[in-house]
This record gives sequence, C-alpha cells and structure tokens, in this order.
Amino acid sequence: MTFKDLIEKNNCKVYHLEPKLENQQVVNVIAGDLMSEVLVEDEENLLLITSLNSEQVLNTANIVDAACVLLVNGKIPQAPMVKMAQNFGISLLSTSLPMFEACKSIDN
Amino acid sequence: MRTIPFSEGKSPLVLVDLIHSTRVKDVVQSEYCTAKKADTLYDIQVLMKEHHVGGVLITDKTGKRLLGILTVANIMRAFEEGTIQETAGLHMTKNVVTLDAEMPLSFAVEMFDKYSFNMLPVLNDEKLIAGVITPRDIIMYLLSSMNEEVAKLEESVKQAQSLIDKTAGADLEGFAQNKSRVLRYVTIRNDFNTAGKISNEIKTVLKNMGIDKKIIRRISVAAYELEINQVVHSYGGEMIFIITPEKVEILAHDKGPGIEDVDKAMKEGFSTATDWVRSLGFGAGMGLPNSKRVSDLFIINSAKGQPTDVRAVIFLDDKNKEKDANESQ
Repeated sequence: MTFKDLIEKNNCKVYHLEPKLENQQVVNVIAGDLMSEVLVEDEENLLLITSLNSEQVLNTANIVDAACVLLVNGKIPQAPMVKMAQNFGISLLSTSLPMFEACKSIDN
Repeated sequence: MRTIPFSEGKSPLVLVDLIHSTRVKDVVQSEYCTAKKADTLYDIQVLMKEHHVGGVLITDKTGKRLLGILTVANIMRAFEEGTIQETAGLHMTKNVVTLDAEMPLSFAVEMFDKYSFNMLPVLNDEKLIAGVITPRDIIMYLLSSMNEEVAKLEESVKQAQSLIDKTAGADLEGFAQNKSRVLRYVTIRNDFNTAGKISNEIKTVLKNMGIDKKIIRRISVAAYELEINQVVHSYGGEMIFIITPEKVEILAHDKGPGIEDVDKAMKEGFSTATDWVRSLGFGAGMGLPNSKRVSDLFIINSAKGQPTDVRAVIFLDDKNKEKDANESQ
C-alpha cells in the first residue's frame, strides 16, 4: 500500500504532502497518543497514527524522522501544526475514521 | 452571543492554571445586604440605594439561610405594577441559582456567561450563605492574579535573557579553538508552546554537520526527553550541547525542585506528571529511561529540593566509545 492509496482509501484530508511520499510504500507504522512511546520507536520512515492534535506530535515526528502523521477521528490540525509539517518536510493527513478503523485499513 | 475569550487549548497555560486552581471561595465577597421576608419592597430599594448594590438576599431569622433574592429588576417591576409597598416574601425570586464555595472559579464565569445575573449568592458546605460574587469581583481578582503571574514570567524571561547574553559568542570561540561547538539554550517552566524547539534546532545543526542519521536520532531523542522534562517538571533550566568530532554531550541543568527518588524516576512507568501534561502526550514515565536508553553514557544527579543535573553522552562512532570507556575507568 502506498501513501497515495492510504489517502484515497481513508478519504484523508491532506494538510501537507511531500511529493516524494505519494508513491512510497507504507512500511513502518506506529499508532498511539503517547509521544513518549513513539520516541522509543527505532524504525525509519514511520507513519504515525494518532488522535493527539498538538504541536508536540510534529516535534516528536521530526525527532524520530517520521515521514507522515495521520490524525484520526477527524481532528483538524491548527495552523502552526501545518506550518511545522511544511518546515520539517513531514506529510500531515487527517481522516474521520477512528483509530482502530484507520489502523485496520492499512494492509500490505 | 459573544463567547468568553478563554479556551483550554488555546489560552496561555498560566491563565488555564489560574482559572482552574482558583475557587469561588477565593473571590467571594463576605459583605452583602440581607432583608427579611416581611420587609417591604420599598424598604429594600432604599437599602439597595444606600449600599449601591444590585441585589439583596432574603434570609431566614438567623440571617444565614437563603430563602430568595430580590434584584433591581424586581424593584422596577414593583414600581410599574404598584406593588412597591408589598413584602419581599411575595415578590422575591425563590428558585435562586447559587454557587458552592468550593467550586472552581470557571463555574462562576460560565454561570455569568449563561445567565444575565449581576450577582450570585455563594453557599458553604452547610448550605449557609458564605457571601456573594459579582463579575466585578472576578475581574478584580483575575487582574491582580494575572499581574502577579506576568511579573513572575517577566522575571524568568529576564533571567533567561541574561543567561543567553552571558554565553553569546561561546559557540564561535569554541569552534575556532578545537573544532567543537558549544550551544546553550534556556528552558522556561510550563512553556509548552516552545517545548521541543531546542531539540529540533539541535537536530538541524547536527544534520548540517553531516553526522550519521541514526546517531542524530539518538541525540535528538535524548535532547527532546530532557527538554520536555525541564519544561514540565522543573522551574526552568538550561541545556548545553557540546559537539566535538568524537561525541555529543548534553548537559541538562535545572533550577529544581529536584527528584525525590532518582532510582524510581529511572524506572519505566514511574511518573509524577499532572493531567495536563498527560493530555499533551507526555508524562508516561518514560522520559528519563528513554534518554538513558539512547545514550552511551548517562549520569543523573538530583535530590528533593535540589537542582537536577543530567549528563548524557552519545559517541559519533564506536571506536571513540571504547576509548572513552577506558578513560573513564
């Protein structure tokens, strides 16, 4: 499954998308609202799925070199978050699906 | 309707803290006017005029139990309807909206927002009158508390600035001498809006220096966890990064209040974080153990009432790791 598939399948709202990401495969995924747990993750090119809608999500994503953040439950990121996503080069998406459904939708 | 320009997510933390930690009893006015059911509305309006109040509490004989309330609106209606010589008992509002003294002040703010009252009676645990509260009391209380909080903030910003001024130039000097860089940053207590900036800036610096991606990630994780810790747990502090060709050393030094049991704090899952810290995605008790996990060398010194000092070292390649390990033996 590519990030493009992910966006289409989950009807994601795209707040920022790095052009190079679209055709990349979604390989490493972490889901959760505790950023401390995300920071323990060692995988690269992560897709971070979370319902936590705060700037710390993007700080965390940048620290662990995540490629993409997917907000669930229809969370709308605030303007500073979108700006951070652009600066860090991290794609930022949002879906109305709840966490479990969003995770289930990812099949490889 | 205009809403109160205050929101949990957007307002500055000092305000959120202030609104939630203040109770109605902190603001309540213990001076108020009372009258009895048998008093006439005419006498009550005289009382209102004399004391410049917009409402009078109608009480029982003891003067402590609330039976009803009479406001300017009731008086105006009485003049209009010609009932001004009748008794308070006949015309008072009996279903009175009251506040409990122990309620958070935010309840009172909501009440005044919801209804068009100018005054609300406050009751104590025993349901006896503790006083009254008006929007003016809230404004006065918040203004004076905000004054105090802003003065504290200004002081800490001043302190932070003087630290930055003192260390400005340290970077260039160090770099010229031995190809190392020293970067120094200041963290401010509870400043969650800028938390994470230091670590992300360090990450960019290291990236520009061409350091290995995986190592940068370990340094950034250690820096971020230590930075968040200083912001949420300490009175503020400083973070110094010493970057040499062999290693990156993070010195995190705060102003207290110190860790009571360092061994416990180093265990995963132990946390003293408050609910708002948790609501921001932290406070799971993984910060210190995680910083240690990504560091090659991790030393922490702290005690209750003392500053906390952390030294975390990450080597830029494995050869140096062995060399330094031998040196420190």
